[in-house]
Amino acid sequence: MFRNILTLFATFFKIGAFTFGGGYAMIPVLEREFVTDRGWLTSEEMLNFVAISQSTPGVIAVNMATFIGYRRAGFLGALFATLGVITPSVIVITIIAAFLSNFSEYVYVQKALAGINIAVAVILVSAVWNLGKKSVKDMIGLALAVIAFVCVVFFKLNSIWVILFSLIVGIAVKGGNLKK
Amino acid sequence: MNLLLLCTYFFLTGLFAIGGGLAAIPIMQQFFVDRGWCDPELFYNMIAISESTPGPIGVNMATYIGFDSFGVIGGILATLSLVLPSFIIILIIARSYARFQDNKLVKNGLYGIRAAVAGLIASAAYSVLSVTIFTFDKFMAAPSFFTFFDLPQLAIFAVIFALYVIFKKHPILYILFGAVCGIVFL
Repeated sequence: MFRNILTLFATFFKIGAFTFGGGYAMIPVLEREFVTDRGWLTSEEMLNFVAISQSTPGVIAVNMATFIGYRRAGFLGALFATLGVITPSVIVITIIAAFLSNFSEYVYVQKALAGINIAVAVILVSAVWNLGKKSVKDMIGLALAVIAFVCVVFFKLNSIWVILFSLIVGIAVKGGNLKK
Repeated sequence: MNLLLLCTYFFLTGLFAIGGGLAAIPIMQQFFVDRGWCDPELFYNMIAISESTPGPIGVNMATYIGFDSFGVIGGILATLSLVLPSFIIILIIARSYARFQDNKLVKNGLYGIRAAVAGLIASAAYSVLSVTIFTFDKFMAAPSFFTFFDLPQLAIFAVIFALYVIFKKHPILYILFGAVCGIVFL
């Protein structure tokens, strides 16, 4: 139990410390840590947690930490996973706010960040493929994914409307004849 | 403005920001910039820094605004206030998840949302690609293959992509490698 809580804190600390570019870039890292390396979750469970984290209030990364932490080790697991993911931010931002408020203007920071963005692009592009083949199982799923993409990229719609729409379509279309 | 009000504002931000940290920024803007707590220029600088440092953007912003107003304690309390509502909500959902995960409605609903999330990940991929390897503005000015891509960035992308697919190491290693490539080549 104690070991699980420590692992949760350490893993989410690592995620908080090295993930750039918001919640989505974190999904492949979570998949690696909890599905591939530890086998604590199945891919489908993880994608369910992402789906729920996306449709509830709050920062997605934090929601994921709370969810995974709770499922693995109850309340304390949730608490320490959540503290783990926010601690690096608190430390890094406090140092920058106190001493380096022109941080983003340093040329080496900009160069490093440009390179990081490319790596994040690689990770996200392969996540579209790897996670897409697990979460899009038929033509309706493909249609929902394409609609989500188009609405967010071209119509700048808030993702909550896309989520709500897919929830309704999922229930309406799948209805009673659910295949396992 | 006092510390209690700061925490209340962040609690409300955490409660109403649905869809992640980017949804939190307009709400923070209403609470802190529109009410004169935070200078607009400083606020935009905070966004730039929150995007260029690791960690969730919403959390970074909360720490920054809190620190700016009340020092280290302010940063910590603002951050905790931001995450408290979702912590409670997710705890409630996680407790009942085991009971509802086999419910037909929940299952079908999640099936739909999982598919949409694939599209949302694709949109995140698109937005980071459009600020790295694609140069749409140059392409619009003079359409050709060479103006469509930023060639050095495209080359780095191709190398990292190949390494990622071949070696399948931990994604964080590639992020660090990307930082090194950026410093050396860009």
